[in-house]
This record gives sequence, C-alpha cells and structure tokens, in this order.
Amino acid sequence: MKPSRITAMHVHIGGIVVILLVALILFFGMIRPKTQDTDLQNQAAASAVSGGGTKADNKKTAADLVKEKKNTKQIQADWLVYQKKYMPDWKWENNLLAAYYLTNKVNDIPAQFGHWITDWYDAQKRDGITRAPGVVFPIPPLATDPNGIAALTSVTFPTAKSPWKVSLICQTFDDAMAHLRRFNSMVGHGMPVVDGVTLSGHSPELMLNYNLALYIIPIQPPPPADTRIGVSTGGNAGGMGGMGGMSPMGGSGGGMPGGAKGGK
Amino acid sequence: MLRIELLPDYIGDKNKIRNLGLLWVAGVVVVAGLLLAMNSSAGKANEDAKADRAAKEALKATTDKNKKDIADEQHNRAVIESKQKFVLNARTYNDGWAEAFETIRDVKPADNSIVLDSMALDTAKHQTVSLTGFGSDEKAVVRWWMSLRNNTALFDHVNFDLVPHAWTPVADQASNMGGPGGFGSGGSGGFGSGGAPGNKMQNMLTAMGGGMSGGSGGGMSGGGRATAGNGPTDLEGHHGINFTAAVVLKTALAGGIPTPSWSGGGAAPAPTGMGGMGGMGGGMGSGGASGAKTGA
Repeated sequence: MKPSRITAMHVHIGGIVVILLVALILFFGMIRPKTQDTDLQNQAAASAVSGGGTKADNKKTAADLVKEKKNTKQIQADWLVYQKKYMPDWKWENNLLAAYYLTNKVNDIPAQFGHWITDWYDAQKRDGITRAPGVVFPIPPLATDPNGIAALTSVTFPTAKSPWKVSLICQTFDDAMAHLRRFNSMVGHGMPVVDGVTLSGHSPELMLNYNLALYIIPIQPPPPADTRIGVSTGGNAGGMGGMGGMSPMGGSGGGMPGGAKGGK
Repeated sequence: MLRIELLPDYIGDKNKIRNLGLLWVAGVVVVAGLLLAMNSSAGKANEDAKADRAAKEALKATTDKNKKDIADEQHNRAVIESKQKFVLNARTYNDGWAEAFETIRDVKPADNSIVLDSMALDTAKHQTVSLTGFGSDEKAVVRWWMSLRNNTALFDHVNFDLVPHAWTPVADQASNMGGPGGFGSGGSGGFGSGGAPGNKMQNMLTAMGGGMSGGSGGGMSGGGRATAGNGPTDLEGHHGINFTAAVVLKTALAGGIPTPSWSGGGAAPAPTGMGGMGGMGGGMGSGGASGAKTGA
C-alpha cells in the first residue's frame, strides 16, 4: 500500500479553510443581513420618535386638538357676539337695482351713517364733549352704481385710506378719557378704531384730537354683480372731486361734482 | 523490557491525521453552532426592532393625524378668527389710549407744581409719550424727572428738555456791536380768558383758561439749546418754566399691537368711469374757544 501523502499540515490548512468558509457563509449570508436590517429598523424607529412617535407626543397633540376645538368654539362664539354688537344687519336684496334704490337703499347708507355719527357726538355734550367748530363726518358713496354692491364684502367709513380727523373740546381730562372709552360701546355701526390721539390745552377747553374710522364686515356676503346692468362702453373717466373748502365753520366742502359717469 | 515499534511510521501518522481531522470537524461544528446561535440572536433582535418600529410609526401616525386635525381646525376657522381678532384688537387699542394718558396723569405730582399742556404718543411704536408743560420752578421739574426716572415699573426712559444755564456779562449786552444774544427763554404769552379758578383739572391738566401762547423766546438765540418755547415763563401770575419731555412707556399702547385695520377695501369701490367724489368737508375751523392755547 502506498503511504498517504496527507500530512498534518494539510489537515490544519483544510480545517482552517473549512472553518473560515463556514464562518463567512453564516456571517455574511445570515447574520449580517439581519443586523443591517435591525439597524435600519432602529433608525426608522428613531426617526418616528423624533417625528412625534411617542405616547407623550400622542397625548400632547390630542390635548392640543381638544384645546383647538375649544378655541374654535370660543372664537365663533366671540365673533357672533361682536358681529351682533358692532356690525349692521345689512340683508342684501338679490335684485341689485332694488337693493340700491328701493329696499336696502345702499345709496342712502352714507347719509344715514353720517347723521348717526354726528348725533353720537352731539349726544355727548352733556358729558362735557363738544365737536370743535368745523368737525363734520363726510362719507363718499358706498357704491357708485348698483353693481358696486357686489364689492361690499367689507366697508370702511369714511374711506379705507383716510379716516375722519376729529377734534373735540373737552371739559375735563376725565371727560376726554371717558369719551375715548365710549367707542367700544358703539352698537350696530361697525367697529370703530381710534388712532393718533393727542391732548392739548387746559380745562375747560381741553382739545382732544384723533383719527376715527368705522370698519364694517357685513353679516351676509353681498350678491354677485348683475351682468344685465352696467354695460360698459368705455366712456370717459369721472373727474376728480373738488377740494373741501376751508370754511371756519367747517361746512360741507362745496367741491365740484365729478365728471360724467362713464360707460353707462 | 524495551518496547520496540516494529510498525512502519506511516501507520502511526495515519491515525494522527484521522484524529486531527476529527478535531477540526469538531471545531467546525462548534464554530458553526456559535454562529447559528448568533444568527438566532440577531434574528430575534431584528424581529424586536421591526415590532418597535411598527409601534412607533403607529404612534407617529396618530400624532400626525392629530397635527393635521389641528391644522385643519385652524384653517377652517381662519376667516372667523381674523375677524374676531380684528375686533378684539380694536377694542384693546381703543381702550389703550386712555390707559396711556392716565398713566402719565397718575404719576404727576399732586401739588400742582407741574401743569401739563399737551400729550401725544409717537405714531410708530406708540410707546413714547411727548409732553409739554409748566413747572413752578426748575427744581420741581427735575424732581418729577427723578420720580419718573425711578419708576422702573412704568417707564423705560425719561428725558426732559430744560434750558441750560449760562451767564452773559452785562457789558457785552450793552455793546453797540451786538454781542451774543441773551439766552432765549420762551416769552410768556398773554393769558386767555376763562379758566375755572382753582379747578385742579382731575389731577392732570390744571385749568388755566388757555392763553399762555408760549412763544419761541423773545431773546436772541444765545448759548442755550432749549427747544423753542422752553424756559422761564409766567402762568397766571406765577413764575416758572416751560418744558418738553419724552417718556418711554415700559409697555407700548395696547401691548404694542399695530393699529387694527380690516383690509376689506374702502367704502367706494371704483368701477370704470365712476363719477368723482364731491368735496370733502370743509377745513377745521381755526380759533374756536377764546383763549385756546396755540403754542407749545
């Protein structure tokens, strides 16, 4: 019999190779993919946690949601109160011609508001508040034609850009302060905003000056424009109004009426 | 007895190699077993991680839904909220004016050594109150200045504009060449009529019946850097000084909210070719009540 050529060295090398092969196959074929996937799962879990995936975040957001719903109810309730108190109840007629000239009389609203605000001031004479000579409350047309009603989603009196400049003679400092505090009690004529208040002079002729605007957010949205009226033919633009006079009595300005209405 | 190995060497080597091979097989089995155990452990950890991820993503989904519901809630009420906030801010703003003026009134000395003549807030931040007034003497004004300066609860900064003192030799004034002018103190104006005597004007603006047109100093402009109208003057027979001051409130008007405005457009939308507006009301009547103060 021929003696074996396999030596101990061969067995050692073979054993090492087999162990290495088994180890590599098991590690890279089975263990490593699992650990890598575990790392990915852990990263995704950490990302979920940082994005709010905890019971504490759940609880907090749930509480916030309840709070927001409560806030919504409170805001709606507050707005209903404010709306009822401050905003005029203009119920628009869908027939714009009727709304403008007959039922809502949009054309007459500036005069109504002008008289009302004048009376509101004059009623405070007994509270030591008197309009300075020349202080009046002019208001331009609310809508220049019936279709203009469609744009009245909100209204600012006298205009959005130029408030009334009010100058009052007050008997005392306290009368002036009480007058300033009276604005929030106005009812049904828009939300007044007083700005630029200055006080000068001395009792009993303390001068109180400020700017006043009334902001109206109608309860109902206005009806859409009527395409069967107001045909535009590209007419001439209206002229500018005349400047107000500088009458010491502060009467109506006497400006010239504007140019012919175009496009009607 | 001496043992003699009669078998050839390769017979013994074969056995050794077989045993060595068995040893290595056992080693392979042990290593494989260890690795399989590791694999099992890794598999379990992997399953746990998957379960943990699923649980946390479920929690995140709930949180996300809550956040979305909150955003929807805020979005749905945004229009009403903006209206409600406008009215709320307007109410706060309107009341803020009286509060700001009363803050100054309430810190004025009760002894009427200070008589205020005008008050106004700056239009930008609504935090600085500009004052003009009359003090019975410079010390009274400075005492009030110190009092306001020490009132850190209500005021951030306080500054009074008083005429600095100087001395001009008489000889120079008499010179034909015209030396430096006298220090321009505000000339006292004439007194107006009326004025309820003794009326303390609700702690604030003492009744004076107007008058006192604090002119801008009769003298030549000298070394003083006083504001026009500041300086020595008389008030109802009492000698004193006019001053101007600026007081920065700790809290701006209505907490510093901007002037409320509802940006819904003006009263008169302007379609093409609209007619021009009539003239606005006449200018304010000048004059008015007799003796109304015009200066300061």
